[in-house]
Amino acid sequence: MHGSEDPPLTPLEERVQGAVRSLPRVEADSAFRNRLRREFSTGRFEPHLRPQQPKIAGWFTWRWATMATAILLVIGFAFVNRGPDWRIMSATGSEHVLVDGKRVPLSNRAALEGALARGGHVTVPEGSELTLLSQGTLLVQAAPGTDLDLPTPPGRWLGKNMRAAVTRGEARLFTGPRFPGRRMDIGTPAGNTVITGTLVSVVTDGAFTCVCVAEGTASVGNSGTSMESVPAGMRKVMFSDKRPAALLPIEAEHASGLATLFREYGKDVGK
Amino acid sequence: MDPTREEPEQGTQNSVSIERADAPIQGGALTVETLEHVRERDSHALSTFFEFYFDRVYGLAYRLLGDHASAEDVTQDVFQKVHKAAPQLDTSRDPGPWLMAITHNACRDYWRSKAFKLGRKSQSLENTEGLVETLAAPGESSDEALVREERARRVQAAIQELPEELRSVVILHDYQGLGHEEIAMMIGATHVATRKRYSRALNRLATLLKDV
Repeated sequence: MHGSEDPPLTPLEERVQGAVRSLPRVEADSAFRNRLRREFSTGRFEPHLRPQQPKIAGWFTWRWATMATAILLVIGFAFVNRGPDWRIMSATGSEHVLVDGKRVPLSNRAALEGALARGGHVTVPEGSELTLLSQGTLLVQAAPGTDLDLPTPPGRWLGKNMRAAVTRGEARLFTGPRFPGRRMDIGTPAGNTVITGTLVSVVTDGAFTCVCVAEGTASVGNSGTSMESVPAGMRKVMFSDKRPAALLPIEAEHASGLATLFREYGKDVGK
Repeated sequence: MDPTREEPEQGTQNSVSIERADAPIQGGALTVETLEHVRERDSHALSTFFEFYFDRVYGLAYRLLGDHASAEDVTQDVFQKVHKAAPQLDTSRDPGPWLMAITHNACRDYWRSKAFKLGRKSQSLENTEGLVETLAAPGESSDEALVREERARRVQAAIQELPEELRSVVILHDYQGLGHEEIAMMIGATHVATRKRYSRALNRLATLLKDV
């Protein structure tokens, strides 16, 4: 059947044709052959059960592989992106603090650090003070009698922005060399502050909020439309009862508190 | 496999006719009498029929699908169909082309099945020839046998690279020894189209096997 009806071939095609024609006979597995002969001659066919492929071949298709890789990448990225946990720099006073409603003794550094590592709502009682650092990024000091929502430390590449809240007392904030490119929104009962790299204190008693800027600038206002840039050495006072806000020179008491913070922790923050 | 597919009718597949009851159908091995017994599903006749055609069916399935596991699946399917259709067997004609057509159709179904697509991903190492092919032929050194085996492996691998339509034609023509007319009827294409496919297949293989 070969030969005459074939189209003219090149020498290479002829060699290939010869190679296909000389392919050897294929030998089937003798057990399979014998079983099939028996089934064919008797008409009793059984399901053809081959040894199962390793299970992984069944489910580990490229879709699963892609999904697993994607999940691993997300987990890996989340791990690498995670910013440094909050570390206790100082905790003075003999009382407990409340972290998310739970009493944690100030004297137990390890428990306190564990409770605050990724942020939370902190209540620092009168007579106590708490200073926390997310290495290279931000230092937060909660003065006696402060209620503070401590944010999760910012991510290295994603989740750079933070949102904190001061509902009572005074929180001093000192940004570090890794803060640029990040921002922190601080909500208070009488207004909001946005900091992008500065040394500030946020003081509030519910009826008013005072944002004192010792270094850099902060954007301060009652709402998005009235945000105002407050330069170093100035403070902005906002009221809950809608009295007009005032831009004034920083008070000595707050300037001194911020200067002390700078002096004590400037090196830790990286400045 | 598609259970609704109609298998080709045996009578359309060949031109051999027999006049005597004991005349051989092919190569002097199967007689009309044997085929009559196959129609009656006589156990001995079925066994003879199986021995006569098994290698051709299995060889075609293996060469088209490229691995033994798939070839076994298809071969079992083919012989089940033949057993079912045995009472309708046309004893005046060679059942060979009919069997080849069933095998080719079963392979085509198998190519398109999920099992084959999944299997191809997990058994790339199975494309080695059987033990028989690695043994030296009489008068052949073991080195020569190895060269022969390597050559066969590369030819088979190159065949697997061809698209289905080209692979079928070149295997049916050069490995199974069918003519273009028979292949055209088997695959449902025109004679001219079959020859063109064959030409393209050889051309592609020549590119893939330059140094064989």
